[in-house]
Amino acid sequence: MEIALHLRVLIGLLCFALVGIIIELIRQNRLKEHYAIIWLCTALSIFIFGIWPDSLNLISRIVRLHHLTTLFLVSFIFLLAIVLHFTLVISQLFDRNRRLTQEVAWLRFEMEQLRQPDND
Amino acid sequence: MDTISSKKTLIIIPAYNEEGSVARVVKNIRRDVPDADILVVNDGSRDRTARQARQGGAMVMNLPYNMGIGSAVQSGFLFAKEKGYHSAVQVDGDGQHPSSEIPRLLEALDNGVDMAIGSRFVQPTGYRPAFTRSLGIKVFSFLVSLLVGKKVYDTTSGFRATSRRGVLLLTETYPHDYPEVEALITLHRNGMRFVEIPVEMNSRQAGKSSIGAKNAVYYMLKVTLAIFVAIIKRRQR
Repeated sequence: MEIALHLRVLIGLLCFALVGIIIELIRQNRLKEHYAIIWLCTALSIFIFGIWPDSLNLISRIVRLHHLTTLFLVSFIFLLAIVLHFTLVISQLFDRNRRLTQEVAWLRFEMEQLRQPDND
Repeated sequence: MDTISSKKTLIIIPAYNEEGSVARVVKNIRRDVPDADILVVNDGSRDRTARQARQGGAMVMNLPYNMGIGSAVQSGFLFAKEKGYHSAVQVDGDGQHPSSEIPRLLEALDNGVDMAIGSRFVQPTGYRPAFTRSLGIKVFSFLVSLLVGKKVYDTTSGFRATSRRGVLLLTETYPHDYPEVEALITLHRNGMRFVEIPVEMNSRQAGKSSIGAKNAVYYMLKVTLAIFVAIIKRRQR
């Protein structure tokens, strides 16, 4: 598969931009390193497909699909995996947040009791 | 652990905007179950629920935001666990549950079961639910009965007494919304037994049902799914 040179350059720049944004977000403490790994891998995959489009052709031949279908399929599975991962994280955060809130309510109750010992 | 209450029962009243009824509910419980401690879990109410509950003579634990009935009741379980109560009874804040029946629920616990449910349908009572609600109740009753291996009539009643063993389990795992049905499966899956005690419920004194028509479909789907999830979930401990 042939990709025009200017398109490759565009993809390359896109990847560098993505990597730059990720590094900046980590530097500003806005992105956990754990998630940065996912995004760096994403940038890397786009980069590989960009400079070496035949890798996509190789996969297309293995799964016997048109290369555009393969591209669509790969992106779709990737996005699905990320969304599933986020749902897992949210569920865990939800549980922890709930227990934390309950513990806070209980501690606040105890604190109020200590402040007014005659108040049964 | 608080040794003073080590032999005591904790009455848990989850309350969300129940200023019109909570004081009366607390007073009735104090009259009918004078030995028990009463905890109102104020689930982020925007009215004077907390003040009313305190004036009625209850302890009040305030949740910082509205967490939902399940999380509120579970907060009560956490309280009971930490304070060493030997049993906990959950009673709605709207006055539907007759406090005079609490001693009968507690008696049932003394016979070694881990939960006693105040049930509306074991014997014919005055309670007549609307058709859709009645259908939901029948579906849950059918599913739970199938799973537990004995007839369970009222799976959605929120009027329940729980043993300390049950409290310890439910402190760890309790759904945050529409928890009643799922909790029964959780108990069963962890080798605990529950019984139904027929009670006559009052119509609510104030406030409105937590399940509006809008939520009925979500309620059915969520609970049915939760039943099946509870089957395949790993056991606690």
